[in-house]
Amino acid sequence: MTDLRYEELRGEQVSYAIDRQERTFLPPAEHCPLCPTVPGGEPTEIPFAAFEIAVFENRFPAFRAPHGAAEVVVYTDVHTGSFGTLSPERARELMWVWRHRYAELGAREGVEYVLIFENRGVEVGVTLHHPHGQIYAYPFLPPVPALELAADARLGGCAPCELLRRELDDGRRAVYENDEVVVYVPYAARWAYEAHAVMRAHRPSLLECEPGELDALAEALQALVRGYDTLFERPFPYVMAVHQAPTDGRACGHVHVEFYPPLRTAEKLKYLAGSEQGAGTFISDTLPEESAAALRRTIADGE
Amino acid sequence: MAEHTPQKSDEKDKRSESFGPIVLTRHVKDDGRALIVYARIRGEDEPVEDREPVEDRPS
Repeated sequence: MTDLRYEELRGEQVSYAIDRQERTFLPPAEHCPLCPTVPGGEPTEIPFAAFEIAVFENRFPAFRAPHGAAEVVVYTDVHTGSFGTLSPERARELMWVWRHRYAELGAREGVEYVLIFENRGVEVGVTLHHPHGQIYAYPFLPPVPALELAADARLGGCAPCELLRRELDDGRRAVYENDEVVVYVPYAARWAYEAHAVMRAHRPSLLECEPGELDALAEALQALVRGYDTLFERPFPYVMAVHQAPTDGRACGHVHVEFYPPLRTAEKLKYLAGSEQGAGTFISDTLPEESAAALRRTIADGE
Repeated sequence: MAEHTPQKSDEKDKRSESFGPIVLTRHVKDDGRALIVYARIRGEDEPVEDREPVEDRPS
């Protein structure tokens, strides 16, 4: 069952999905539910001996129809690897899958926001190692996209457009650029190696992107993730969130992908503690300009 | 009969459609959940992988 409750003090929704307590937790590779089903072998979520990308409704959904949706996006039928190790072709294909799911879920009655995301690494709560992401379709506008809309109003136009202009003018925090996408550590990054990949052109969602822009987005995201893995010479945990326009009919939004990596050194994690949780104010011990310089070097080395 | 009878994801449930450079095939799992398999549309000289259903996960 799922249940939505409104927390009056903070003015936010909380989703109770108690079935998720029973979800599969870090199974050994031979019992991975996201692997293809081998003839004669244990059935998995995907009943095919081979596939490229598969999307299915989450068996343990945080949201479900008619009050939203929760889907799993499996990037490959190969158990090992990551988004960064996908072939460029597969990464480009994934952009089209994201676009398709955004279109289809966003068109459902009552879905106000579609969030495509990936949790990578046990440090951020991953329960399955097979390369995959997730999609939640919310029956309300969640707080973070709502804050971005408030930033639009505060800045008198598209906030990501304005912030991109500022970052390009400054230049110290840009870590990767191609013809269509710029990746930078934000001026006021909350996480030591937080990065935002922003479309240069104003595109409210992936639906408005030209095919070449989708290709460039895939290229930029892979360059960043590979740079992350090189930074400390270890798989780099992160939460990745694709921000697009709400699907409630509002004409706003600008495609950008935000990464929140919890590592602040090769071994040390940033925890959300007293100030972050109690007051909502992040305390960081790394300057964005310094982490951007390190990240820029590792990405360039990998190109 | 229940309104949403779980269906076996076999040939009769398959529906393929194209979306830009990809093709998607829709299936319904044993427990009624949707499954979509995506593949890149290939040129005539490129091989297409065999993706026949094997068996769905028990609900």
